[in-house]
Amino acid sequence: MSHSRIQKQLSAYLDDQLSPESRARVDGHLNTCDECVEMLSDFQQNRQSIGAMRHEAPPIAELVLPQLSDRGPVRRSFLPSTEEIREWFFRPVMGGTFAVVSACLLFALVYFNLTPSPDDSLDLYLSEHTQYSVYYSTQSGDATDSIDSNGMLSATNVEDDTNFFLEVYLGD
Amino acid sequence: MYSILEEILPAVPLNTQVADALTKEQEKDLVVRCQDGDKRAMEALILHYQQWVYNIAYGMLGTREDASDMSQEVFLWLWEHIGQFRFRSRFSTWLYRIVTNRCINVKDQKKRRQTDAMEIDDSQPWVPVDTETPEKSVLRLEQREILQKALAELKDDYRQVLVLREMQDLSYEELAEVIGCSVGRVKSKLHEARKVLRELVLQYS
Repeated sequence: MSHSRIQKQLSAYLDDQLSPESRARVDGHLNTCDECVEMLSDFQQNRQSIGAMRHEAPPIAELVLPQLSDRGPVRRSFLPSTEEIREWFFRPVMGGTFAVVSACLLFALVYFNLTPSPDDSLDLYLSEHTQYSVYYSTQSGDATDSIDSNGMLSATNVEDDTNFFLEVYLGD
Repeated sequence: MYSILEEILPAVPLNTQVADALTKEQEKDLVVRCQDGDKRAMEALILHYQQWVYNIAYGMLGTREDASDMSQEVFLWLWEHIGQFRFRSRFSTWLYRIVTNRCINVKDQKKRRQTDAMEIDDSQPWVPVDTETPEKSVLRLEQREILQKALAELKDDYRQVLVLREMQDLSYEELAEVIGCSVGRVKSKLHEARKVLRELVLQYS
């Protein structure tokens, strides 16, 4: 195992959190590497120094207890606290889920809302307009001569409309 | 000092570390009674946890005054909001989280106000465990000053993990629960924190 990988395990070694195999590997490395020995020694010393910062607390209970009566009553809440909601929302799994759902929504939005091409618009217009003309003709009876025996709009009528649409749509 | 604890929890051996002596059931019993508004149970909880809360606050904030103020604030907040605790984790874990988060918030507020860097409180020298020579005492004092300066420079999450581990001796699993991450992340974060602290200490030495 490389020097840098061993070095990363020194903290866990100090806390006795390594498996026996890993511990033996680190022990072996420590016999040959002064840099790691020094680092471990510093970790240990800092640990002791921080541990030594513990000291007797002032009489906090005496200071707090007289103030309790002035405070509001204790309520047993059945709703989640703001802290719990925050904690729940900021869990890593929630972050991941939120990212995936957002990406899907964004993709769907882009995919289904692409600007329709002029061809699509033309097809849509023609189909809508044809249906409308057929419906209008059959309802009003004014243009019965242009409806064939199958109830379809005559080719001449559709061509006229198409030409009209192209003039308007393409600006010619 | 612990008379009320002895009265409420006669089975607890109070000559040992009280915080370690409470079982889950005893802790739950105390919390439920607090949630029902029992002030004596609250008193017992404060006596039980004041040492822990104070020392975490001291490690996080760096001065005794701030630590004392923070401890009082936490217990007063606790009295009002203990109803929000729903026994999904150990009460001590919840309390650790509250204390460290509030300390981080206070430090953030201080930073926003652009106050000076954390002061080193030397008003009350630490009581040495054993008798030392004057030279050793001076050296110890210097080392402590350097360590506090280095701790003050650390990022909040590094300081949090170091204080909880080195000062309160929390296990990796407890740390993961308090910080809200995996045990693996605790392991790497602790290593990074120790490494940065070491570099800072060497820099100031």
